[in-house]
Amino acid sequence: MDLMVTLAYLDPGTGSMLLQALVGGSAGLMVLVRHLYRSWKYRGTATASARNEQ
Amino acid sequence: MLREPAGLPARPDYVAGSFRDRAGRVFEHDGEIFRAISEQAREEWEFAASLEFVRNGMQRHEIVPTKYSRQHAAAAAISDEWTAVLHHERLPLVTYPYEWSFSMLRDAALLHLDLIQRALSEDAIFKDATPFNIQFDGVRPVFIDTASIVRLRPGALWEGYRQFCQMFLYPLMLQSFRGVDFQPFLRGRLDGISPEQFHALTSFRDKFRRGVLTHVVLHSRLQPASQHSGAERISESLKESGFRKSLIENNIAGLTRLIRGLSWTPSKSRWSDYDREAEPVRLDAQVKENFVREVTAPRHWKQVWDVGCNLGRYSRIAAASADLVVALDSDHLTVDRLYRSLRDEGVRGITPLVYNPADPSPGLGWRCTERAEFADRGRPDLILFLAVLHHLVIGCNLLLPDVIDWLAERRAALVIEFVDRRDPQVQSLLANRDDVFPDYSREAFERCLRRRFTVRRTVDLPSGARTLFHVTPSA
Repeated sequence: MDLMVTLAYLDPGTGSMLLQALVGGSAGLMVLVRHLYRSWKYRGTATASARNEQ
Repeated sequence: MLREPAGLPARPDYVAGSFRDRAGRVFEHDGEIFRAISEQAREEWEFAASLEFVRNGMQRHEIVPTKYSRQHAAAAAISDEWTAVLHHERLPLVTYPYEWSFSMLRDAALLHLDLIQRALSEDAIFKDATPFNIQFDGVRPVFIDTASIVRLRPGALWEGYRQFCQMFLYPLMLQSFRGVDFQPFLRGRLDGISPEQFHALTSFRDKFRRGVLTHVVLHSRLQPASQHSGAERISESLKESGFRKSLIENNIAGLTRLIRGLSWTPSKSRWSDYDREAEPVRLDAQVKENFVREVTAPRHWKQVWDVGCNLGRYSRIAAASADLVVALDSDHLTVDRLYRSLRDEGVRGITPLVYNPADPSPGLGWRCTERAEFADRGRPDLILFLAVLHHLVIGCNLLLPDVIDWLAERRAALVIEFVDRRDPQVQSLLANRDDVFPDYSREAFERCLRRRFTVRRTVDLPSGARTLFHVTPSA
């Protein structure tokens, strides 16, 4: 964990992180698509669990 | 050449700007530069020192030569945070990107990108991407923050990308696309220009220029849209989605092509043709050259400041007898042209900087000491102050005795040119304003000068209204 904290002393910016996939060429585009799909799936799961808890 | 001192201090004075990275801190002792590092940074350094690009970079002087200090035991004595001390080769002058010209920032950016590309080929990366980690040795950029070279973890992103855009890419684009000087932006905000700010500064046409849609427009839009998503989660998700080293390599290669394509070559500025056009300058040039040569040649100087250097005619003469000449001028284009000509000719020992004595780099950042003011970083033993005084007194409304006092505080020998009111350059300065400078006269100037200096020699110049003085500080 210490290593993570030290390496992350510079805030890379969340938008900049996503952009790094986009500027990485066609392979990066695929990474971004997979990431967006994962995020969409994660959001769907999170919403469903919130509903169940209610 | 690294000279090991007899011992290291138990309580070193850390360099004021060295605190953001908790893995180490830089301090100066006995004229040498050291970096106390933590155990984790020591492990990273062991790794970095074993890399071919680091060894080659140090040999080629692209990376500052660094080795362990022999006095390892001193690290723990300084603080229990530290387990080792690195010893860096000292560079002659610390300069900041808001004092560089366009081509200097561009060359620094290209060096940084080249080092990152070479690091990636050995599964390493740089923690950050700031031009403050680069210094100029003459006109050669040198990377100085060896502690920022770390292992690249599989699937990790380039953490310095955003910083690279803010500190290198956007300032260069601003100058190249809009012709707006980037130095006030970097001086005004030490983090550089944010994507949102730079997006607002671009024109409609700029949006269609190479790299702008992604590195600027999308960058500025994505940041607010994703800021609640959590950096760690995004980073982890991108990794699991297949993010890999080749994507960083593609980005670095693209940025390199983009920055190579940026240029800034306006045809002229207020001072760029001064040497060729101003009548008194042409008439007096040979006598001034001889005078400067006669003052500089008899001894060796550690650091010479040529204030108002223009195209560097006198800087080049002084360089023959000096370790370093700092060629200072407030005109950005003039400094950029001088830098490019020195670089292309392979001239060593002259560093040109954008500098205005009436508006110099102040202390900035945390406690106003993180970045030191210019006068605290340079220690000249000779100052050339040729055809500058009338601009400061009449053009910038500075007080004549104050300017002489400031020069005297440098404790350096001085070659100063006094330009009389009869001179066409002074006449043009006074042409469109009230003459509120009754104290601007040769008599008043000499009175001030003799109060703080001993006059060694004077020469009246052929143009008829200018005089050179060689003076040394009074005891």
